[in-house]
Amino acid sequence: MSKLISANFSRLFHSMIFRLCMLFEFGFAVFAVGTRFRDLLIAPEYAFHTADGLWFAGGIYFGIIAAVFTGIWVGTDYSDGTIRNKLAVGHTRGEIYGANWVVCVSAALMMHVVYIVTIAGLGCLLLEPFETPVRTLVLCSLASIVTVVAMVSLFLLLAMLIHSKSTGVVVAILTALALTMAGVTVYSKLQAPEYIESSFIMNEEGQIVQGEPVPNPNYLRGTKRKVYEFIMDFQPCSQMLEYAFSEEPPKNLAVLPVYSLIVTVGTSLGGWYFFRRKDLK
Amino acid sequence: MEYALTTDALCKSYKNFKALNGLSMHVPKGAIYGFVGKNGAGKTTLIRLICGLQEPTSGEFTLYGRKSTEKDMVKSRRRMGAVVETPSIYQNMTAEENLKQQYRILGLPSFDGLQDILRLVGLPDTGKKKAKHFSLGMKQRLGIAIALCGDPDFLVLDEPINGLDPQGIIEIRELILKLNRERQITVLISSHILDELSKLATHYGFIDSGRIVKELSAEELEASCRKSIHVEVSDSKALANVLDAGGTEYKILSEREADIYGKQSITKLALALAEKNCEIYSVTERDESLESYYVNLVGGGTNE
Repeated sequence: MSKLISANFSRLFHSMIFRLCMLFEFGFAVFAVGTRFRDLLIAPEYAFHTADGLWFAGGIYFGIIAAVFTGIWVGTDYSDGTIRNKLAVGHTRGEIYGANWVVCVSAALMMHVVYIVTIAGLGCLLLEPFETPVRTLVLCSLASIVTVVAMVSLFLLLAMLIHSKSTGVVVAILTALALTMAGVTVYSKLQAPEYIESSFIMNEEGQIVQGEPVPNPNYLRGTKRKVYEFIMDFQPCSQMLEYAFSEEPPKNLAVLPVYSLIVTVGTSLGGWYFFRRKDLK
Repeated sequence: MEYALTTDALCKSYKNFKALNGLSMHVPKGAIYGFVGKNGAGKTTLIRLICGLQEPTSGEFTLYGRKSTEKDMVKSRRRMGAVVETPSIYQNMTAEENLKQQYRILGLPSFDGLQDILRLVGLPDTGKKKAKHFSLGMKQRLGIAIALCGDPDFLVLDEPINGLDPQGIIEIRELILKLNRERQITVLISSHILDELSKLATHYGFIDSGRIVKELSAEELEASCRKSIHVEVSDSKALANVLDAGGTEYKILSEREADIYGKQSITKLALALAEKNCEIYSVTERDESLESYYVNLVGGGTNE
């Protein structure tokens, strides 16, 4: 498999889609910090003074970037027919799947790291120091790496099992969009407050006072809340949203990488199993 | 005879359609094996099985002594290069980059011999031109060049001249002959352009509805296809004596039938046979080409 990994890495560094994705991640990070810096110059009293909150902002759309890259990169092997060159000279399907996994995961991690390093570097340079504890940033960054691996494993499964490059890319993007939108919906439902302030009322003494808080009918309770929390924690695109939206590290930070590992192992074994049995053209 | 590839009752089904139906064939080492059949006869399916793109439903094949069911079949595949249907090349790479990529896939320690392969296929000066800007003939040659990386002993070419202009067809033909003669590479070439195939092949396999209907060497085919006169006489021994006396090539088929090759004066033959009290009952002229041989063999149905 080392031969295929070496060949794949060589192709990766020639790949236009890889360069574009890296450039996008870098560009988005520069744009995010640059916007805060501009706001700071124009209206410092209303602007954010640090790059806190931007650290994982890229995670919101990272699923789509990973889907586009994986779909196009793997799909090229199908559309150009070059996967045949690997099989015809004696590489096994397991080796081909494994080598693609290694290179796609590496590429996605490089993109993720470029974003984080750019945010950190420019954030320190143009804005005030991060208020989020370094430990939190490091722990969340490490956990997000496992999330990226799970995300890529899922999109690789789709790309390897769909022959058509364009169909593969579209299916991967739609999957990423669906998972991200599902994550946003679930997150917003979970964020609903348990009690809502009641309206102002006039008491017996003729004073206008605020009434007692009343239970929020939209607040998820019991099993339904647990199911929503599980969905939020389990699927990789919503995990990324948790890192991006939370000011504090997620309460169950230790569990999230475990869920990501389950997704990684499940999708990789499933993809490998079905790819081995797939008729190629 | 030693074989590079043999198949034994190979079957491949797609749902209810049998693409290969108990196909058995034998590709001798050093041969250019012309694999002839209509569209949909099963040529590409067989090549896909050999290349490991698909698994047989039943049956097996043996490549350089290893059966397809053996775990180390991949070792035999390393002796093989293939161009299946369209050339398998990275469109966004140059010819040299494509070859380097294949060298890496094969795990070759250096790029030695890369320029030799490009020269061999006639692509030494394509420079930084990307493969997507190549003509069809150039792409086809680049596909063959990639298949040649790693010095294969066995080259599988699926319809290599489809869509090529006359010059391109000549170039590919010359290249295949050169590889076979100079490098002793065994070639399995599938095609339905029979005229072109007849200029290359040393052996033929005719496939129809997923089965091999006939395998024969080019000499056997030539013998079958030579201009001949089929005669029916009262005494084939008398005929043989007359033909021997005239130094004519012939083949006795039975006590009353024989094929006579080359030009023959029927008047002289009739007079000579009359002297030996041998009657001629019928004379039929035969003039077969690969095409007519194929039509006779599998019928002249329409291509699907």
